[in-house]
Amino acid sequence: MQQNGDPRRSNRIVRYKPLDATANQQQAVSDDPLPEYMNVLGMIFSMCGLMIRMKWCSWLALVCSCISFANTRTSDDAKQIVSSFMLSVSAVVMSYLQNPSPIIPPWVTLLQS
Amino acid sequence: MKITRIFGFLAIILFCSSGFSAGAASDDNEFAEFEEDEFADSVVVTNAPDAKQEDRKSVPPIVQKDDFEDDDFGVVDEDESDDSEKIKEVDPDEPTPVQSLKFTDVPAHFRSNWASYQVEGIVVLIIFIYLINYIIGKTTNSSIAHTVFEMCRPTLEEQFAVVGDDGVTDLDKLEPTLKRDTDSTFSAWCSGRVNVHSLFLQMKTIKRQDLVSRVLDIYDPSSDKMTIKVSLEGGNDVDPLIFAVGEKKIATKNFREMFDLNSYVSEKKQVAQQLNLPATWQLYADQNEVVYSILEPGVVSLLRKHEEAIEFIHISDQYTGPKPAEGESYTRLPEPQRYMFMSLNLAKLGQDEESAAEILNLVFYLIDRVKKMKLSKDAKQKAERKRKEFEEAFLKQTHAFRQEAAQARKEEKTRERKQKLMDEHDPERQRRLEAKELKKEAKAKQPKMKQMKVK
Repeated sequence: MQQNGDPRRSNRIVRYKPLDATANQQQAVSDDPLPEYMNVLGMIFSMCGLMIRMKWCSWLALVCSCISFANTRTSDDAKQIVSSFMLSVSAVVMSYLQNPSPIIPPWVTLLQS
Repeated sequence: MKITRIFGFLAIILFCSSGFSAGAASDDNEFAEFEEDEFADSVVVTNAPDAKQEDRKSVPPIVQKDDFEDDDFGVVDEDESDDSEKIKEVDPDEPTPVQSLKFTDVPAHFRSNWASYQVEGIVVLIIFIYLINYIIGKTTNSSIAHTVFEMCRPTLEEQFAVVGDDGVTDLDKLEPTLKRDTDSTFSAWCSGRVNVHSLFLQMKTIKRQDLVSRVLDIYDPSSDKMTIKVSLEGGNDVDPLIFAVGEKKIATKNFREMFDLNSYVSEKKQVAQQLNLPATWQLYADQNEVVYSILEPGVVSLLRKHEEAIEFIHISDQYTGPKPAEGESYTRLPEPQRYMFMSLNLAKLGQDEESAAEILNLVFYLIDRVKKMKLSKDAKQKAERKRKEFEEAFLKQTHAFRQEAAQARKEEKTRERKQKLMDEHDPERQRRLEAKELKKEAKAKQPKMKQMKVK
């Protein structure tokens, strides 16, 4: 199974071409849709946190942004990740500016009952 | 000038504020007349020194009563006592407005009350752990991929003129490097070899950087994989073959999903047994001769030796990618490519350099073997006939689809014409359109008869 002679051919080099952007992205999304789902969830939770003033929604939005960041593909736009982070942080900050009291833990109500 | 204006504004503001304070003072003076009455009342009332303030508020109604009762001296004492009673009665009532005032609960400042922010603390801790895991997972994945690449690099450099091309850097300055696609995917593009257009090496590690994926991995474990996609140089002198062998699960999955495997090949159980392939493997090919010419005894022994590392091998001259999704179909057959695909288990491959080198050399051996392979005349004709039959069947199917589509379009057009006819208000135009319509229908019926006559 040994090769005889040098198989290398410098005249037959084919340069690497990144695959067509849109087709590749669609394929990548179908293979692993987690970052997209987390991005959308993060935005929904941020909106709920800001408008309905639910603090736990804002915190969840922050967690979703972190998950989306960890699963980013290089083809993805960094701006989207940064903007979702900023949105979730602003949701947390605004929720606590409006009402600085802490979230009442569920175990407190359970213990009381 | 600006300074004078500012001073002017300040003066106005001060004047307004002094005016308000004067008003407030005058408010106080308005109650001056009642202060005398309060002194008189205060002699009588000894119990409620705080009631003075309440008196000021409630003075008007009481004062009015006093005004009435001051004239009747006989009644004054009683009235005074009544007043005192009333005041006493009012006194307990008066505080009620004060009691009804509710002080809002202002939460204690965070610094003095941080122990109650338990949920927030837990969430911050989770995020912190997630980020730590991200850093650790990313570094682990990177180190695994680079270690294996370092093992494979010498063999790749022997075989290819260019290893690790990014498509941008000048070839002279290019260093063999692994490209990072994501935090868990790495790739290298190699080119410049006989019989090969390009070799795309991709390493997909487990998503160690994502805690959620790690947790899901507990329930559905997966392993680090390396895939080698080789675009083979084609030509008329190369014989047709479609061949796939590998671990049962993966082989079956690919058999169902890949268009060429699904269309041309069948499972070769007996041949697999004859060749003494591992029991957990499955073999697919379009012809037995192809299997015998590729799976030589040496190749089989290597496959058995690295049974755990090698997951799946697929060689084809009709590669077109995966089947279209259910409900969809190609309108035209896609251009087939000569292609070789190999899936390897990264953990087993990276155990030692020797096994990595052996497996890679096996890949290059197979590439050259496929190029040199010569089928017998019968086998070659059979293969070409099969491909032609498949193509004709596909065209017939699409022809039927195309005919249906054309028929639908025709019907749509006649419907539109008839609708136009119905909507036409001008009787002259309507008559003309009707005549046209009749002509067209007559024409549509006629040619068939004409053709028959000619025949």
